[in-house]
Formats: sequence, C-alpha cells, structure tokens
Amino acid sequence: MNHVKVDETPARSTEPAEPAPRADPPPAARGGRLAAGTLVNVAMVVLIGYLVLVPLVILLYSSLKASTTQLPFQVSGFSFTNFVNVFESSHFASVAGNTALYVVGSLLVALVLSMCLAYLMERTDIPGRRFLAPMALAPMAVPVTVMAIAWALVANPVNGPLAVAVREVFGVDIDIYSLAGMILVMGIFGVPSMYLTIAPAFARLNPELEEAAAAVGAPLRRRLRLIVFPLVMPAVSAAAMLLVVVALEGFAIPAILGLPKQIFVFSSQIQYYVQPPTGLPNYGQASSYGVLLLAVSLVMLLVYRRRTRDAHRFRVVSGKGYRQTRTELGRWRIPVFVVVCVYLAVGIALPILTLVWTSFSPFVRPVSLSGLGSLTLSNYSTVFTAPGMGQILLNTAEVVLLTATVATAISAWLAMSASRRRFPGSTFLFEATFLVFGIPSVVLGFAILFLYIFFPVPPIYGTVWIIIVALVARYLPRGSRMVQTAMLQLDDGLVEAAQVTGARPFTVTRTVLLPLLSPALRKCWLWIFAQALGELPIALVLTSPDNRTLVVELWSIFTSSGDYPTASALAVLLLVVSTVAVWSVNRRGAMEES
Amino acid sequence: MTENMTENVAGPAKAAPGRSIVVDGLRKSYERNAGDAAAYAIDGVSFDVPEGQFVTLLGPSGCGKTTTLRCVAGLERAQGGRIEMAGQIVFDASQGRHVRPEDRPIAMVPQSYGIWPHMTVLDNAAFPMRHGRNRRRGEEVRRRAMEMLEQVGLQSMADRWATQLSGGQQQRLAFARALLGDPEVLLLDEPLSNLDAKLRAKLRQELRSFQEKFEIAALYVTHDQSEALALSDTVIVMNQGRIEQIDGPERLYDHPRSSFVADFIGSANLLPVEHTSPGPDGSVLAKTGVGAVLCGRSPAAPDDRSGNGGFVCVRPENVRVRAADEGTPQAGDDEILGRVETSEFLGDRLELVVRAGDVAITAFARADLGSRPGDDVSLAFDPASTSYLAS
Repeated sequence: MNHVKVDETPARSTEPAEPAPRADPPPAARGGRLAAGTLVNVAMVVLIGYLVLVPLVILLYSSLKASTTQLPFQVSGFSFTNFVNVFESSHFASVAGNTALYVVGSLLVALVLSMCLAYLMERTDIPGRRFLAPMALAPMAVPVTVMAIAWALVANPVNGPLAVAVREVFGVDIDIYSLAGMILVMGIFGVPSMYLTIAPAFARLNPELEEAAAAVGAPLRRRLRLIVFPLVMPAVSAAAMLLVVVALEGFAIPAILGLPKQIFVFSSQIQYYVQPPTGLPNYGQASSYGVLLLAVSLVMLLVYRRRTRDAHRFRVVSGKGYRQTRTELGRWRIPVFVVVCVYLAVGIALPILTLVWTSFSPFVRPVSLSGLGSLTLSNYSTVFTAPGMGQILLNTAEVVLLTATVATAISAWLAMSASRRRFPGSTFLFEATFLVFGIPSVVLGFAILFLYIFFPVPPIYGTVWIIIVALVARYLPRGSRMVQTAMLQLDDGLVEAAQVTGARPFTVTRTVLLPLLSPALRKCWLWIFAQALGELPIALVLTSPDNRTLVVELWSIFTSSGDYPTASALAVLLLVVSTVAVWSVNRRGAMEES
Repeated sequence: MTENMTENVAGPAKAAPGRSIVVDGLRKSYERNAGDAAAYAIDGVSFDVPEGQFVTLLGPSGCGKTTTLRCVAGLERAQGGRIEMAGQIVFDASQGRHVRPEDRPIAMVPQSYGIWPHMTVLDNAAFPMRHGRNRRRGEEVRRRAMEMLEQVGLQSMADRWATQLSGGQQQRLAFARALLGDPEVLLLDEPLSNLDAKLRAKLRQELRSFQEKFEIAALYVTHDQSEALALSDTVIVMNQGRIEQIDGPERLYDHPRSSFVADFIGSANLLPVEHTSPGPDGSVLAKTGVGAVLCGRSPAAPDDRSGNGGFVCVRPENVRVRAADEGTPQAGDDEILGRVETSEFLGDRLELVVRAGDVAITAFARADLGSRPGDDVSLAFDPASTSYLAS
C-alpha cells in the first residue's frame, strides 16, 4: 500500500513550489509539475537579478561615459573623464568636506543622545521609564521628509518658534538652514534606530559585573568607563556603521535644510545634477558621484557585517534569572528626569506640534494661545480640492500598497528559498540583494531612470510602475532579511515533521511555513508600507506629471511655492498614516513578546 | 537518467522479507568536495531494522547517529551507500536515486516534537490524514484522530491550542501524529531529551508499550545509554561515524566488543594490556600493570587471542573486594593488592576507588565492608565476567 515513488533529480533541487496533487499522480504529471516549479524559480531568479544587478551595471556604465549634457547611451567609448572631472573640481572638495562633517557630526549627536537615553532607561532608576522610552522612539514613526519640514518650521531664523525663543532668552541667533542644523536634525532622526540596537546590549549587561565594581568602591563614573562601555561597544559600533550609511544616502534632510543655502552633500549633489533647477542634467557627474557614494556605503556595510556576524550567536541567550538592579541616581534623579523631558519636548514634540499648528493656521505664525481662535481647516480643504489631488492620492495608494505587497512576497520567496536551499545558488541570490542595501536611493532612482529611458521594455517610464520597481528593489534586502531572521528562529523540526507525513512541499509551505511566518510577514509589509510612503528621492527622481505621489507633492509645495500651511497639512496626513502603520508593527511586536 | 529509468522499470531489488529498513554502506561528509581525505560524518554504516522491532542508534554527540537517522528519513542525502525501506530502494548513491522524504513510508518525532503552534491539538494530529501521503476524507479523519488522542490521553485537550500543552503532552501528541500517518517505520530523534528525569522515565515506558501495541518498527536515536538499554530490542553503538557494535542490550553490556563500548555502556575498569597469550578453554591470559589476568570472555577468533595491546575490561560490580586483614594478604595470580583512595557510601553499596600499582580500579563492595581511604584491600576478578578487548 505504501507505494514508494522514485525521483531521479537531486534532492536539493526537488522542492519547487508546486500545486498540491491528488494522490499518486502518474509520472508524466509529476514531471510537469516539476517543470512548472523550476519555471517559477527561474522566473524569480531573473526578476531578482534584474532588480538587483541591472541598476548597479547601469550606474557603472554611465559613470564611464564622458557625457555632460547627453544621455550616457548616446556617447561612444568608455573613459574616466567623469571621475577626473569630479576630482579636479574645487566643488568636489567642498561637497566631500560637507558630507564628512555632516555624517560624522550627526553620528556624534545620535551616539551621545542614544547612549545616554539607553543607559538611563535600561540601567538607572530614572522615573517615568514606561512613558519616556516610547517617546524617545517616537521619531521612528515620522517620515524623514516630514521631520525635515517640521524642523524647518520650528527653527527657521525668521519666525520659527524655537529660533525666536532662543533669541529672546539667550540672545543667540540660530539658523536651521545650515550644516549644524542638518547635523542636529539627522542626529535626532538617527536616535531611535540606534537606541533599539544599543538598549538590548545595556539590558543584557550582567548587573553583577557592575555591582562587583561598585562593591570595591569604584565611583559611578569609573564604573561606566571601565565596565559598561567596553561591554556595549560591539552593539554601539554596529549601530554607528549603520547610521553612517543612512546619513550618507539620506536625501530629505540635506535637501530641505541645505539646498536653500547651497550646502551640498553627496546625495543632494547627485539629485541636483540629475534635476537641476535650470539647465540640462549632468548625468556623467551624477553617475560618478553615485559610484563614489556606493563604494563608501559598501565598505561601511561590509565592516558592519563583519562586526555583527558573531554578535548574532549571542542574541538567543536569554537573560533568565537576571535580577534587574538599577543604578540609583540619588539626588540627580529629578534633575536628570527634567533634562530628558526637555530633550523630548524640544527635540521631538515641539517640531511636530509646530507642524500640526501650522497645518491649522491661515499663515505661518508662532504657536500661541491667542492663535487658537483663528485655527482653520482651510489648508486641508485646499489639499483635498487641489486639482489633480485625486490622482496623486490614487498614485500614492497604488505605490505603497503594491510596493509593500510585491516586496514582501518576493522577500518571503527569497528568504524561504535561501534558508531551505531550494535550488543551487539560492543562498548566493539572497546575499546578492545585499548590494542594493549599499545603493543610495537617489542613485537607485536614477539608475532605474536610465534603464527605462535606454531600454523602455516594459514601457513603464512615467507611470507609477517605475516607482514601484525602484522601491521594490530598494526594500528587498531589508524585507528578505526580516523574513530570514524569523525563519532562523523557527525550529527545523516544525517543517520536517510536516515533510515526513508525506505532504507536498507546496502544502507544507501553505499549511505550516507561511502561517508560522505570518507575524514576520505582516511586520515586513507594514514596515515597507511606512517606508515607501515617506521615501522621497526615488519618487522625486522618477517623477513625471502622471505619477506624482504625496511625498513629491509635499516636496514641491514646500520648496517651490512656499505655501507652508498647505505643505504642513500634507505632511500631517503623511505623518498620521505612517504613525498608524508603525504603531501597529510595534503593537504586534509587544503582543508577541507578552 | 536513462539508466535510472530502466532501473525504475525493472523494479527495485529484492529486499529480504521481514526487514523494515536495510541500510548498507552509508557514508556522508559535510565537506563540499568529499575526497579521500575528507572527514566523514558517517562512514560505511550498515544495519537493518527488522519488522516490529525497536532499534536504537546510541553514541556520544557528534558520532553521526542523528545524521544517519536524517539520511534514513531522506532529510539529508548521503554520498554513498543504499537504503531500502519496506522492500523498496529509497536511496542508492551509485544509481543517483533519492526518494524524497514525503514519498518514504515513514513518520518522525523530531527532538523538539515539531508541534505546530498555530493549530489546535486535533489539527496537529489530523495533519497526516488531511495532507499526508495516505489522505482520508470526511468524518473518518476526526474520528480516527480522536481515537488516537484518546489512546495517548489527550482527548480532553483536542480543541485547545497546541501551545497550551506541557512538554510531556506535546511529546505524546507528536507520537500520536506520527502514528496517524500509517508509517512502516517510526523515526525518533532523541524525543525524550527535553523532558525532566522523572517524566523521561515514565514516557520511556509509554513509548515502548505504544510501539509494541502498534507493532511498528522504530529507529530511535539517543545519547542516553540507560534509555537505549531499557527500550531497545537491538542497540547500535556508534562512534566517530562508524558502528562499534550491534547487539541486544544484555549482550552489549556483558560482552562489549571494544573499549569504547565498554566505557560508554555503564562503567568499566579498562586495564591496558602489554601482551597476551591463549589460556585454557578459549580464554586469554593478559599481562597488565597489576599482573596477569585470566579473561574468560575473549574474541572468538583464535588469532586475536595472542598479541600486544588491548584492554582487560571488568565491571565494578564484578570486582570482588576483601579487606586485606581478613586473611593472609597474598599477591597471587588471582588477587591484586591495593590501597583505597576514595570510598563513597551509597546506601546499598560502597563505591571504592582502589589504587594498585599505577592503575586505579573502581569496585562496588558490600555496604558493610567499612573500608576507609588508606586501608589496604585485596581485589579479585572472576575470569567468567572478565573480558579481553583487542581495541
């Protein structure tokens, strides 16, 4: 009764996603299903290769084409002229200098803030931790474009409430439209991700180590320097590398806060070459800047990977049996609490409050009680009744929903193939997506732009689809790693137990693997959804009259028309949707932990 | 390809009747290019599992027992050898033939049980009937699943989530689910290792009684020798990817074939041997550091009875201990003089470590012997329970 079927192909390649069969199909049908499975695999390999490798090749290709005003494909022969031009210009030195200052500065700001916060929240008895810790993470829910605009509103030298207050109290002029302003905003923006990496390291710190030092009479300062910092260094340096990459490629902050005073960093310079306010784009220069930026990012990411490779092994270790003893702040307890509250109020709450205030105001004005009477909804009605707004909302919905769905689906397939080694090279394919991680989004945007100008098949140039293609490529590395992490935490026995019952691979995937992965998939979807909503540079570089999205509309209202109240209303809309998505990610996470 | 097709048409080789699994010359390396110098995780493993028998793969961690089980399940693919299952060839390296796990007539209880947390207890148990190789329809699925759950004492939990079960209940559910797949062979990968000692002993008995009741062949992997001895019809002792010995539990204990087996199963005194000569009645006279020892249990082949090296093996309970002042202390051929190094009172017996010359010998003595460290004692080995091991 137990008919044993014999299969000639190697085991590694015989787990294609195939439809569940009726019992014992004839050999021919079986071969057909195998072929179908292989076809799906091949199609996915081609698709991912296309999304990952083609932009890189196009970027390198166009950087070697000496063009100033022509498209790269119209130039014959290869040369290093672009790179020579870049290095010879005095402008390059200033851009490189700005970039270095910007990246290092924001790293320092983020590092100091997140280390202090993580230590205070995890290791001391500061009051109100339950309320302060989520507050410190709140900027995560704010799209970076919205964050930059909020800061421009709150601290601009003309009428920003913060700038005005500082001038009145301290007699100092502050200007957010400066390198220092960019550094401050990027630093604060970088705190949540850094905090999330560092805080577990602080939480894991064996309190006994610190207690032992306290027992021999070492004062708090020495305990911090000699015991705590060396133990959290691995997490800190990993978080730092990642922040450097994010700051390097970040576009919205340098563009919104730097461009008005012509302060360029790499990413904003590239966009400026591709879409200059006047004159023709200089693709050659843009490409060579892109290659340089990519090289720096990749080096940082490789260092990051080396650092985190071993760290993963210790992540599983649970802090079971730890007695959470916290350092007592003593008489500093209240002053420290006040300082943290002031930071949270000024650094996070005030910009958002100003943004919301402006969105309900008839014109830009400081937050005041007297203004309460003249609050208006007219900005929102302007937003919704503006010509073309329906199309923009539709475009945005299409872009974020399709990007999140498609990227999650491909990520799931990729991570499952790689960790179950469905076919030869599946692991390599997974690793290859890491390259996209290193491509700054401005660069990815115009690489895709070139691709469809040069090779318009399918003809998606100017449609929302070109943005979706670029965004899917962009979120594939992070998405597939999210799913893979979840897969690694799954016990192999869960899948194997289903396999040996005789269930088909497709059935196993459908009934066991996907349900077990569904929390991770949902999280991945929401994460990509929130990211895609606020992703400015790709949408901006690929924009055309028919595929404008909310974030591009926000950018153009803010930078060109200067109608700040309307821009604020748009920004608040983005903020609300993004916050709901991020909140539900975290709520799910919290529910699973409990 | 064509070759395989012909083989397929010609039908599988005749398997010996009455054997559920036949493993022949299985070898596997985890290194990519398995050359001559490659380290093999399993190297030339051959054994069979008779119908309805309980066979255990026993060995220390890293000995290749789990790899062997996974190759039998088809979850891993060996580089060499052949596996037959229920009369069909399911793996043959020389023919490039590999039947996928879902097409082998098996069921498995993984080490972590593999209970699906997103399903109820009943859904877990019914999975093989709903999606497995012997699919059923309608009411029968639920009825059979409920019957089986009743057998393992989980009928009252049927509609609960599987995560609400305790460790022992999960283990029973995994067992029920495995049996509902109507397998020819049940594969168990250390299914008791995640439980506490008391529960382990209880479930061990349950497991064996289920296996006997359903008359199903079982291949069981464990590193726990007492589990192996208590459960099995046959124990296969493995070490470093090779099989050391295949025997029934009693024979394995009384007649270990190598010093590894003697040491791994129970405790044993292993005295290094300088040289040996044949003794009377097929016995061996072995010259050791504490004098000549007559070994009644010796290799069957006469050639192995004389030579150099090897060990004398004697179990602690087979060492006779006598206080040296009970009679005239005499260092004869059959008595060894020594001094007690440590002495532990264990209630039912006294466990002594006695130093004689440069070897330490462990012995279980009567609890009332009253020897203290520093006392002189004399030890005697009974030739009938003393083995000579060539390696």
